[in-house]
Amino acid sequence: MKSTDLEILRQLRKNSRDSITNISKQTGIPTSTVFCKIKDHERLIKKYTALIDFSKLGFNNWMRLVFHIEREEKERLMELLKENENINSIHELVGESNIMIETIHRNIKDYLDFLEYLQSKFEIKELQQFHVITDKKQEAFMN
Amino acid sequence: MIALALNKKEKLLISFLRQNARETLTNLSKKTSIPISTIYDSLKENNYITRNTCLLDFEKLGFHTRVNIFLKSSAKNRKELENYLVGHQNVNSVFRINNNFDFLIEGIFKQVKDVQEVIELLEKNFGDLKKDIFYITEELMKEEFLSSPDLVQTQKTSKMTGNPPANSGYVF
Repeated sequence: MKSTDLEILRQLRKNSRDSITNISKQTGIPTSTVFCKIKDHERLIKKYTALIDFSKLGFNNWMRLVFHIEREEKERLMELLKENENINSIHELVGESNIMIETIHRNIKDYLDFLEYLQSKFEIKELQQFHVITDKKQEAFMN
Repeated sequence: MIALALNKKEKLLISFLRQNARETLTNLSKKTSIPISTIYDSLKENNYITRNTCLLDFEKLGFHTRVNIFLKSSAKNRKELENYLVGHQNVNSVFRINNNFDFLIEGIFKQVKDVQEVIELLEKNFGDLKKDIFYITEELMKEEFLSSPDLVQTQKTSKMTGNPPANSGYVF
């Protein structure tokens, strides 16, 4: 990948709402090229999104859970998790603990209700729960 | 912290921005029925959007190794470790966490060998480090919370418990 392409992606990582004119000014790349490059690189971009401080919206319980689920249960678990509105991310992992999920709830009670529901439906093994206190850096790679 | 009181249209705006932060003001206005000027002001003045960004497919960019690492250091080294992690170019995200660890980091690397080098450096510089490493094989979902406009609704409570019913939409 050329350095001009990387520069455009870097600008979009910094501020995805930035205008083509401004990206052109920041990078010294002509606006027409910026326009075409953004179109070309859509295959590299999974999503443009706003990162939110959810605590300011009243969601004060931010968790990361790591656990093991049997292979035959995985598909059913994914279906359930993808439909749950409190899941922010899901990662499949190598090793004994094979799933990591990120949840965001209004409070600890809602989170515990969710966990109880999850455990009533699946045999969750080796569960580790981590409360995320704050983010020190987020989505900063190639930024 | 006191949560902001947002109306349904403002909640919709957040969900559309979570879905596509590059959406034009005109389209956002059409979708939410909020005047363009109000959206413009809201995007400029709100304090809950920390950044508008794009999530990249790092695999397609040649970074084939993604890893989540839990770290704990001694209290005297904690700040130094935090600064090191925040400043490291391969560390995509750093979270302060509890439950026997101090930090959770997400690292993005070209190959496993590069992860090993970072681990060795961390061990050399922060000798008392406790760590747990999880390699990611697949990212099945990322930044999906509050990204479905269909689920935006005003607060509802269950008659049974007084709590919001499960899987009934975002209640905020």
